[in-house]
Amino acid sequence: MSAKKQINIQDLISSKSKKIVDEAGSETLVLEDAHALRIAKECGCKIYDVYVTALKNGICPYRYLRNRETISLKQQLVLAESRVAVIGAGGLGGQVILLLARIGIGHLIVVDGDVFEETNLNRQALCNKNSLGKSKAKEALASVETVNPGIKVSAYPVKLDSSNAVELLTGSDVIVDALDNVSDRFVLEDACKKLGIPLVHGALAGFEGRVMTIFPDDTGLKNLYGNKKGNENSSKSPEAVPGIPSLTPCLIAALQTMEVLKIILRRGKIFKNAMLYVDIETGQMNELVFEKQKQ
Amino acid sequence: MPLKILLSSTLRKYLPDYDPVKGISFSVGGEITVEELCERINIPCAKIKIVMVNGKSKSMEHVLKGNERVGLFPPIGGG
Repeated sequence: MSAKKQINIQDLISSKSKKIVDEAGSETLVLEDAHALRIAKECGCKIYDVYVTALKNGICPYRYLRNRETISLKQQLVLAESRVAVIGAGGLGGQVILLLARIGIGHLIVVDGDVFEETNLNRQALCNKNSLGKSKAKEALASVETVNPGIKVSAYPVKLDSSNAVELLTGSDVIVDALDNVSDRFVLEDACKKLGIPLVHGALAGFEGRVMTIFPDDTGLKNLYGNKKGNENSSKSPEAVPGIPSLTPCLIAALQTMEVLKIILRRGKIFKNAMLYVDIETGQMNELVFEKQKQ
Repeated sequence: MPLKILLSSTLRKYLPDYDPVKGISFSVGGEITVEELCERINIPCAKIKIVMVNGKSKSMEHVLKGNERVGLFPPIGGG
């Protein structure tokens, strides 16, 4: 954006913002989406730019008002200026993408080479009768556009592999592992370690699931699956046996999204060198710790 | 004191009467390794990727003494 346009946007945002007072008497300047859309059109910029400019000037995009108190305006700006890659836009990924979009992560990278099929309808948030046969990555872009047009989405309808991983993932602040098989997860982990980017792993089967955040120097997936070599031919999803009802991806995706927030906002406790294991049938949620192994 | 054994996911199919709420209570006379325990309860060791004893990862060779919670996990990769 040019300096002239920047000033213009700022002026327009200020003139269209309004002060609201909540029940506790706290005042907040907000900018409604209808105005944000018009300003973006007038200035020839993205709604993303309008949101970021508003946040930088202490004005809360109205849609984020209910994040307030839990996520401060300054933190909302940090989220808006963050870039998160979600690898896989199926059961876990679909939910993660929608959650990240609603919470206000400014730039999402979505990588998935698959198309939606009928057996995805039982659990995958972005799958519906209209998206059958369509690219999961492109449908993610379309869905985010309707949920939060202030998010930039780069959708790649390709399978992540060792030849494209670094190119697709460079510049991400956090990467979410929402894949559905072990061998691809190792490819992703290799790329994350190479790039020095934290990876939020999630996996599920039946009513059970687990989450672990892997920093570049951590042992990572080896703790969960053993050596990479033993998993090279595991393209068939291990969850095929117990299946996946709709509930489990929702919960594991929420936990993965929380890990992303904790990393970006530097708050809370991250599940590093530990897995959060959840069994929603028995109500168990346990942190299980991996003791340091030799690489 | 008995061991409390909890099985995850596909490991449960090896014990058709397994109750995920209660797990398995297993009395040991003396020390026993995780591997020996799995053989005693008919869980194939090759299917186990993670062993957790009282919430911490251990190897199949880890020696159990009783009064411990043992969690056994197969690989899960679904998403």
